[in-house]
Amino acid sequence: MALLPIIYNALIVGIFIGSIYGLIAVGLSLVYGVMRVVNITHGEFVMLGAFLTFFAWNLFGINPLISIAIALVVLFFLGLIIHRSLVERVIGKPMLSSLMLTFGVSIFVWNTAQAVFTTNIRAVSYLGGSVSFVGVNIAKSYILGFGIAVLLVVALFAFLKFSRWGKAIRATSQNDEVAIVCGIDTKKVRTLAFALGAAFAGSAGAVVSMTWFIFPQMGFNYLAKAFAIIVLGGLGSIPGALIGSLIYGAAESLAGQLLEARMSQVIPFVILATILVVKPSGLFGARER
Amino acid sequence: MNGLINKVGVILLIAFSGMMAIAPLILDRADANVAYLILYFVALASSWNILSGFTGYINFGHAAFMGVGMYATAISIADFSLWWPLAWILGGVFAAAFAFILGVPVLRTRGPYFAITMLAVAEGTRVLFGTSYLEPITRAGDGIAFSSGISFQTKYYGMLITVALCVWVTYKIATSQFGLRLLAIREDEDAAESMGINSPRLKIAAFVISAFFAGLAGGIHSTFLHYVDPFHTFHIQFTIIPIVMAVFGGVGTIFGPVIGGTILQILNDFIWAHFLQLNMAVFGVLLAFLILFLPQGFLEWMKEGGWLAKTRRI
Amino acid sequence: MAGEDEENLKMPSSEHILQVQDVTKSFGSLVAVNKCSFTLEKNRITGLIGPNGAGKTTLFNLIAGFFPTDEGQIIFKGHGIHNLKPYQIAERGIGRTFQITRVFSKMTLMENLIVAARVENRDERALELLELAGLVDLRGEYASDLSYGQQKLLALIRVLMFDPDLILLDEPAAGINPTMQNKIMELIHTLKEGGKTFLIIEHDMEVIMGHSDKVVVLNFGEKIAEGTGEEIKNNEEVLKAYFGR
Repeated sequence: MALLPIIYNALIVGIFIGSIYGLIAVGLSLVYGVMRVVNITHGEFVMLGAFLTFFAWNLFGINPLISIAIALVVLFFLGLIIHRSLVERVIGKPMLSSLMLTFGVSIFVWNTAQAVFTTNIRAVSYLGGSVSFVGVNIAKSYILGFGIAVLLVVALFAFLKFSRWGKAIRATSQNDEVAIVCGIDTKKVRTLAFALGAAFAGSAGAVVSMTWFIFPQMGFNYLAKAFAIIVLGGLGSIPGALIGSLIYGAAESLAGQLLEARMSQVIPFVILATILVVKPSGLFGARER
Repeated sequence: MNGLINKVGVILLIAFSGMMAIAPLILDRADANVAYLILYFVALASSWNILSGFTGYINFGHAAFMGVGMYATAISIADFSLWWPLAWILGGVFAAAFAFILGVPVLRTRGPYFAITMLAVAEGTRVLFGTSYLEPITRAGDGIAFSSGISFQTKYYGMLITVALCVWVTYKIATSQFGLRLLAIREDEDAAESMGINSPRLKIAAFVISAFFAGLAGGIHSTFLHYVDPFHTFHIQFTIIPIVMAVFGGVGTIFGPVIGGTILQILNDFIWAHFLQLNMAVFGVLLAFLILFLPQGFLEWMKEGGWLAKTRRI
Repeated sequence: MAGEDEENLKMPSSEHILQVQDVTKSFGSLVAVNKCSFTLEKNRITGLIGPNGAGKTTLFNLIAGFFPTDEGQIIFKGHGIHNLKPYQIAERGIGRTFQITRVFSKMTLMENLIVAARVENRDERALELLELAGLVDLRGEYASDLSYGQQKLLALIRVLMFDPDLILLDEPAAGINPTMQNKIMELIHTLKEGGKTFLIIEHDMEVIMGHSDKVVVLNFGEKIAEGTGEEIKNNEEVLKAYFGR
């Protein structure tokens, strides 16, 4: 029965891991909800946030914690530019267009990153060590990640619920035609949502730089996980993405403990396939027809 | 004018086929390699087109089928000394079987679900082949090095026949009821189903055929490389480059992938020689550009402009 | 419950080609159709009306198999169909059109018609139907090049290609000029004489009253009235639904 402690351990750790993934998934879900675009470049935003943190730390000695905020801002503007120049042009066209477009852009970004940054694996060893939490050893960086994720997600919720632009985002997500009639500039709303998504991904990247490895191809991995999470939680549902991320984190952690560590990379597909067969609308998603 | 371009097109096609047929006989090995790789990528682009071009289900995991075929062939030769033509076909068969098993759950989904799931499949397959669980079969990260004793000529013509077969099958599909129904699925799957079109079955059929040719081409290519390993075999470039080729030439057309494959492989070769590190970045930009300005592809654009006959036969 | 399979129910009257029994469907917290029940008689035109959002199109989608029912049965020619997929339902003999025409734009008219056909003489049949609709000269054109009214006609005859017994029409007369409207209604009556049954969603009261044998009225997902055009016109509940208190 040495299994039980392992499972317990994995579940607790999984919650922390899941929270970091959740930060990434929330951005992806926001973009999908507002403009029905699955942004394949989302993973690359994470990667860029991570590299930004690394270079800020390595070259300029900037505290990674500050880089989280820097990444938030820098990726916000990058997202804004990418949306205005590229993604907005395929809004209204069949979904294939946005899929292919963001796929092409993501390939461009990571390949260029690979050429510029080289494929050497990096990390930001800033927050080392671990603490004990309910009897489990949690890396300090995981706790930081959890804290940042909670902070940003709560901020997002507050923004969506109380601010004018937040309400505009929610209106556009529900029905963009009606939103236009209500006088909402949906183009600006979309740009804002995309930029926010990128910002969240970037800040998650900053966190990730302290917890896991940094390398140019890391983007796809996080995209697959984020996508599995939002499918699990229900496409377009942000609360679903959050709950989905915790479940996902636990599943991945368990798999990593019980099976070979590398198997954790197969998890996205396993979860996706299972959900798609059992309940395609996810836990909280509405079936769109 | 119309008739002239059609005739020119036919002549070009015949000339091209002729050139490709005699290439290994008249070119030196280095140039013949270029011709071989053109055929390889045309095979990948054309096989991708069979599902994604006709049904609109964008398969971002095509490399997984190619890779499965490569491994199947490699293992059957290395471990079982299977006669090479059978080993090649086995590559196609394994890929097709993989597609069938995968297709049943995954093709129930639409649009982005399918595309990204297939992306995850490709990644997952790559990782799986590198784990210790499959090591006895796949040698995990070490890969499998093997020799097949086949001459370059044989491999070249094997690939040529694969391409010809794939294009012929695409033609048969495009001019049949089956193909028309696939197009209806692409146009409007719900409306198609409401008319009695059994979309799940048709999608799986297209998926399996597409995978077979990718696996077959992969199998032949593995004997060309004499080596397979998870990183190189399942590399994403074998998904992205064929996709860009098919989109460039024209998805859902018969010769689109051939045209796109030929032109872009020449480009690819050039980039490999000079800017190796950025070859995928170039294709990424090209894809984005195509989607923004020429999503229907070259061939379809010619048809729309009246330069070519508006027939499904090309 | 939606889970039970009704294999061979003996119906009280074999004239009832379709029976909707206590059908309920919700989307999250929104109850789109609530315990709705009615029957369709064979060889009749039944109108389905109600204010916007009453659940009419959802009902169509349920009958056509686009979603399963949460509760209740839908019985067609004696068999439960509420769990079947759209193409299976089409195979059994139910055809439908959509509120916004969904023809295959990048396919020719001819291709639009023959794509789903399984019969040997499909080309002839397609030409016959094109003649009937007056579209035979345009058969080589892309469907997207047609006018809106022509597309509606195309959608209608396309459904006829596989010879369904029951045809669901979602606002067949909407958005087209009166001449075309008449043409479509004529076609529908001709088909009715030929043995077909129709369920038609419409907002145009004249069309409904003038052409239906029976009318079913929905409001907020519930059936509030069922009867002839005359009966419905004077029904209190119906007037309330449309004009408020």
